[in-house]
Amino acid sequence: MFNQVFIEKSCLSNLRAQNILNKLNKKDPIIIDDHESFFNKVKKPYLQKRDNLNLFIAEKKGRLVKEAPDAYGLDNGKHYYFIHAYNCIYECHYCYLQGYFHSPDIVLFVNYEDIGMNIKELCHNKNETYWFHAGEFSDSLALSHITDEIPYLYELFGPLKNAKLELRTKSANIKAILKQSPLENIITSFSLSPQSHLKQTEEKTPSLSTRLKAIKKLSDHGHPIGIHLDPIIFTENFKQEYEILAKELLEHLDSKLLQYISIGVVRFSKESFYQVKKNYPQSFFLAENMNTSFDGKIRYPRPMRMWILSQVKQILIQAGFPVEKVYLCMED
Amino acid sequence: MKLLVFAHPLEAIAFLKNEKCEALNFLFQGIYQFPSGYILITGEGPQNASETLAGFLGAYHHKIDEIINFGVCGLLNSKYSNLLHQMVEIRTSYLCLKDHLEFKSYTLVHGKNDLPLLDCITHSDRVHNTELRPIADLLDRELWSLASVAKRFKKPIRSIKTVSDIINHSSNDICEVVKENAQQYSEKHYFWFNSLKSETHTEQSSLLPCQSYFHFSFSQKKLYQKLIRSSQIKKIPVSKIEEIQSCLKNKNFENKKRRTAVLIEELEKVIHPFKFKLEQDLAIYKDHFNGLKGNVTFDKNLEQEKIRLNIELENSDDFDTLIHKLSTFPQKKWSDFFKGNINV
Repeated sequence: MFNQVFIEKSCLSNLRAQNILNKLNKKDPIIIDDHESFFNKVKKPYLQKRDNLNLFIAEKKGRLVKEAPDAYGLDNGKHYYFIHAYNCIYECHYCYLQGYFHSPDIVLFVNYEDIGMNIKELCHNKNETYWFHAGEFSDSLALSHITDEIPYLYELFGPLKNAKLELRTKSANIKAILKQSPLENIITSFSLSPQSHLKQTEEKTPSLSTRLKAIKKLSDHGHPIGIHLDPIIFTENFKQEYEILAKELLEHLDSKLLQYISIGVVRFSKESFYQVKKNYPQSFFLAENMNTSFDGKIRYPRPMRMWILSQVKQILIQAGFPVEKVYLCMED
Repeated sequence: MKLLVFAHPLEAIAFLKNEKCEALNFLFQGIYQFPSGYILITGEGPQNASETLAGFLGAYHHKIDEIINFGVCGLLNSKYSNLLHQMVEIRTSYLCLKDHLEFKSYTLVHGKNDLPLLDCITHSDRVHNTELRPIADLLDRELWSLASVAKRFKKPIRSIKTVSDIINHSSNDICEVVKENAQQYSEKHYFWFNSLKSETHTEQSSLLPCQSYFHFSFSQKKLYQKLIRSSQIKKIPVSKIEEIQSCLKNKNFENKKRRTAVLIEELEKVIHPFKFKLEQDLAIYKDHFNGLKGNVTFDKNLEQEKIRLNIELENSDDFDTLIHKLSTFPQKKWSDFFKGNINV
């Protein structure tokens, strides 16, 4: 999976780091002082993730938990994300990370206890609900069989009754979660698209049916589930495809365990859009016109994307999803 | 024509021997001409490389289609020790000036060959340690500068290197080793160059229709090409596009420009039916202001509901018409249009 593995000197004695090295069967990683001396220091082309992906095992310094942008998640409470990793093993053509970092290399941070301390400090007001999202800069579960942080997160959030944790993933890597007793405040959320869209825009991610099976397993075990139908990409027959997806989803999910379905239309920062055009000039979402929108991001024209969102919302409601559980993501 | 770039004369020796090379009378030495191109000997290091290549291209850029750099490099990553004395092709070039890592990198073009593709970092000094291994597997002294100048002159560049040594602390006398093997490396490079089949870069047909029927302004040409790209992504058959074109050729228009405008409109209809629908709706709102003298424009990105009226009011009738138009404007419907209330 990784061409080279680098580890910060300070992490050598860290048990999580050792565990990662063991699982990767890397006995002789290259020892460096600080990942920041190399990661993001030079522009490494994004597509090198295909055959020259490196891993850095490091300690996260600076702010570990950050406030999430507006229109992020449900409207009830304060939203934060924490940074457990940079970059992702998957290759999604629309991914904003290709314009965010200057390298596709993966950084895994192993100082989870520091993150946990930060989270506890933030949840000081017992009357407030605090949301924490893992997966802003990396898939929350894709590497969890190597990083082993899930038991720690369950232990951390168990007593934090006014905090909710969202583990957001495109993977079907749920083994670690299945070993835990469900907690009301830990929600595993899956990003889904119709299979034909996945096939054209995502590489190395599990198929829709594999993800749906993972949802079913978690649902059967009583774990709360979130769904992200995001990014929605316009095609001539997208309505039919989302009708099928909604139906399939209902067949795999106990709707009592469903916490929310967020829907969002494909969007790019300017830098990401430039990178997407460079890396995937033939991607089918580049066939439609997109413009600079209200927040500087590149989107379909407003009437078009609002129409798309209203259509998908309608499809979900008609399929039987409760209207109060559907929310629009990243729209003003 | 090709420009072949080497750091040292010894690296170019097989080329100089086997091609009918003649020294070129130029401002500085180290430039040779042969029937299918030029050879440039830059001297060692990034500064020499950038100065000589920029100087040469300043005078001869119009004659150069492609630059190929041949040279040697050291191996930073012992994982690839099997590549010692083997040829590799460079994928991405990085730079380290003294201790400073330059952010900018250059990804080179590379052909369809079996050479391993690796990254290379150019260093301003001769180095004997592997500290830069997290950045690249190979180390040289010139490539980044060459790539940077090539980019400035908009010339494609590729780089073929032979791995001359594995870098470690005891590699101080490596220059002697490289010199000893230089001729052998040069012959290998020359052999590779000779076997290089001209790779024809077939540009995607832009399908610009016959100029005797259509006249494209600069912006129309850009728009047309964008539409064709979209049609290719959407896999709309070429025959469909050609059918639209030939249908318009047989129709009468006041001039070629008008025919072109209609062609673009027709293509929009087929390639972007949704956008076409939005434009049709907008035209209805625009038509609402017919009868007024002036322009009605909407937000060009269709992001905001605002409408800009640039109206001339000459008499009381104009005032009355404007008041009437404004008071009967379907504001609610207009607002709903932006909420996605569209009949598609």
